[in-house]
Amino acid sequence: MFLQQLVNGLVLGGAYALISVGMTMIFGIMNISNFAHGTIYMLGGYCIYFLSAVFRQPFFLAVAISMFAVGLIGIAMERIVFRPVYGGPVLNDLLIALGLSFFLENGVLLLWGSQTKSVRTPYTDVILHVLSISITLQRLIVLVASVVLIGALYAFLNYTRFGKAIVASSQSPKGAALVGIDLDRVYMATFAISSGLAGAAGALLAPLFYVFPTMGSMPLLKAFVVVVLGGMGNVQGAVVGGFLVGIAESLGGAYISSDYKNVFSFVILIAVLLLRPQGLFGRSES
Amino acid sequence: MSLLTCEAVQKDFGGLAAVNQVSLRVTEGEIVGLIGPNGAGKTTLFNLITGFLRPTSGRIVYAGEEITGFAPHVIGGLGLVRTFQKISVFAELTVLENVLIGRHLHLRVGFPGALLQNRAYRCEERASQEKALGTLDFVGLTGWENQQAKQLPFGLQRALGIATALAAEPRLLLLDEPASGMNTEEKRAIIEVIRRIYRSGTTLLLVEHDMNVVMSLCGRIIVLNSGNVLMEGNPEEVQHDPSVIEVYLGKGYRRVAGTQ
Amino acid sequence: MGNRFIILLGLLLLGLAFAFPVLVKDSYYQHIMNVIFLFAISVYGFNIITGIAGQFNIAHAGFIGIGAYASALATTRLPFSFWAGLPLSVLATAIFGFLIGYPSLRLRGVYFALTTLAFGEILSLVFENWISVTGGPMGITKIPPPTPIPLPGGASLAFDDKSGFYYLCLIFLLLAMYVNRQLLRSRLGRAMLAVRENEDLAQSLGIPVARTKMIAFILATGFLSVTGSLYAHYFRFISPVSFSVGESFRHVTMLIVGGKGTLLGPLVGAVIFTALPEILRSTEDYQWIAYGVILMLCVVFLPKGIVGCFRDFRGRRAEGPAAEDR
Repeated sequence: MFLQQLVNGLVLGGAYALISVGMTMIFGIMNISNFAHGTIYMLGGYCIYFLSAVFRQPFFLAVAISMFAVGLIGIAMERIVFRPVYGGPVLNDLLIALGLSFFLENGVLLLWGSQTKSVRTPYTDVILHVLSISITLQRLIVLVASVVLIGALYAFLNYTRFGKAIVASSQSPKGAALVGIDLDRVYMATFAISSGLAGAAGALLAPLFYVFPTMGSMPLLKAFVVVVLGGMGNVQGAVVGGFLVGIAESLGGAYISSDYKNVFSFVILIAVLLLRPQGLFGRSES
Repeated sequence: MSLLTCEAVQKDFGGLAAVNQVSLRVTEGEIVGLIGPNGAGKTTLFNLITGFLRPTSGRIVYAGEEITGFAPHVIGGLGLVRTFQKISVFAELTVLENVLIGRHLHLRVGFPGALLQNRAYRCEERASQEKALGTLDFVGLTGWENQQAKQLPFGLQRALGIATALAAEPRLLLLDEPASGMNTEEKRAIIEVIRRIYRSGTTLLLVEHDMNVVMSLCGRIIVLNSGNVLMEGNPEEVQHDPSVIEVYLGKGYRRVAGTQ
Repeated sequence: MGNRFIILLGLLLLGLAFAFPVLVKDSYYQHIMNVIFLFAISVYGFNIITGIAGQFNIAHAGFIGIGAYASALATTRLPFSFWAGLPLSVLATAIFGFLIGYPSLRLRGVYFALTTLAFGEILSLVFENWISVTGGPMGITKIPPPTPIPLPGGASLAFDDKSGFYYLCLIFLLLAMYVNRQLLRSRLGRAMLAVRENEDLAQSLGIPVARTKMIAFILATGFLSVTGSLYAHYFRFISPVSFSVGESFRHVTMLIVGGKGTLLGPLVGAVIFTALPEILRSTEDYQWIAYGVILMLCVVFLPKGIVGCFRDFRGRRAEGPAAEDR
């Protein structure tokens, strides 16, 4: 039972990590808390719904397309919505992201209705048994895909020129500008990556959790928890935090209370903010 | 009588001593300057004295009472008020509102009185408006009352910051680089204001980079370098002290400056 | 000259407000006014913590919920009348305000907002799952209207119809507006403004920042609690859905678009976002999309909200009483 819940937690954690990594990057590089991140995740879900249920594309292809499509939408968001509020008071970022999420959520609601939509894949029905654990192939795919995408992000940030430029910008935007890094492109790329990964998460999880307009609200909150736990702006932190929160939720839901399952991550958030606000990997402010 | 005493105050950040065993004393009625090159620890010392930082070791005594580790608002409440170098005003509020906030410590009527608008409240409001206008006049900001603080020209914003601090009727006023970023005209105006404050009986300790400002105002100067007190003395002594010259201008100037 | 005009205008509006239920007998319109008033009271509360003290709280729908449930329980499970239940629910909400505020207010900016978001979600979950007390998703039903107040002369003021409630809400709204106004002219309110603008500077002037934030928070919860009680006894039915974090966002929109920190902003915001949906009933589906767009446009072009920008436009650049007429 414990092992089973642990594995469930890992699957959940991988997804959380995937969603949170983008959010923490946006915070670290642009100092924006993206409250619209949940709706970006939701768009990934709708993308794959249309690609797979309506246009009958194969699953993996649909995920890839969703990822790129949502990434492009992310770039559009950055240019149209967030650019006007750079450098302003922090409250403005929160508010404009809020407005954006109203717009997107209700736009989707208007266009495609509030009914929950399901996405079927050949993998949701295949169950694997390893030791005492059973896991559907779909869940395993989610876990593997999360790890692969995060690994790709790592490689990109640490081994490519542009990736290193992005890392430099998060440490010092002025310094980066001084050495000739084009901050505009960095910002666009950050949003593209962040949205793409969130969209991929939405697409990967759609077969498991269905697709509906407000599907992004909980993931948004969980992402905040993960980001704060890991240290705002810290990519490793978001990965580790994601898995920790996923496991905590899974175990908490199984052993303590499944009604209040969502409470655990919020309790973690409050505990972190009170005891160690800089998170696991963050630097403490003097 | 010593109004402010620092006894072997130490502040370490990691392995670095930003303020290293600094002892100093400010007597009531003095105007003391605190100078030193960038990174000497002047702002850190200010933050330690005013409670924004806690010393690693050492004592800070104000008006006979130890204030080491007290919270900033408690220290302000004792009459030790400071200004800030960056963002010295409440930007979105008007000039008058800024100064009225400075009156906080001297207002007695609580919120219930404000709700009832009883006589005590109305009297106090009128009195504090008058006091505030008087303070604005003192620093030369008459006529600007209803202007939003962030709309003020830079030099006047600084004057406003000082006015707000004055409204709190401090016994000891700490000015953090009051003249920084100002042009010659503005500096002249602020020097006048500070002189007026001094003449009205307030004790002053100011951090400043501009040597003209410091030399023309301060009776005594303390020089910091790398967290240590290098020397202290009157402007003449400080100007000709070889170690001070070396710290600011480098070794090569030692002999040349000595011939002045 | 301008002063006198505004005072006259204010008195006229006040007179109209009191005469409204007599002039307009249609209960539909009375209902709309009641809803506007309810929202306005809560937004005035929200204004104290977020507009004046500058701390972005997102849990206020949850606090309205605490007020609503406390008041509803006092009159359904316990033998209290609405009038006795009201101070009890304010007390209960204030206690929660203190408990939640104590850890949260230490945090600045977005961290505080996130903590209140988390608490708001926890409250929502508790409302839904603590079935023995809150009735779970089914909520609490059959909440009685406030008991009539006996008036001199044998008549009594009854609240079982919309026009009776109208006056109750109007009184509380005027109270909320008055408190907001006097706050801005008091030592306490100025301290809150100082904390909003520059915490360090406020501290150096002797203002106890943590205590000031807490007082603002508790004052705000007081108003939210009243809104909750009124809501419970007006609609006579409450369920967790009305107190979710999503509802908080609606209040946020009202405050921001109306103008935070101003005296009329909350009312303007409440009117726009309550009256508009009713008028545009047929386009209900498009409403929230419109709100999203309005909010975004507001943040970029009208950061001070309608009232704030109106004031700027007229040449007065203050958010404090020094430049106001009265």
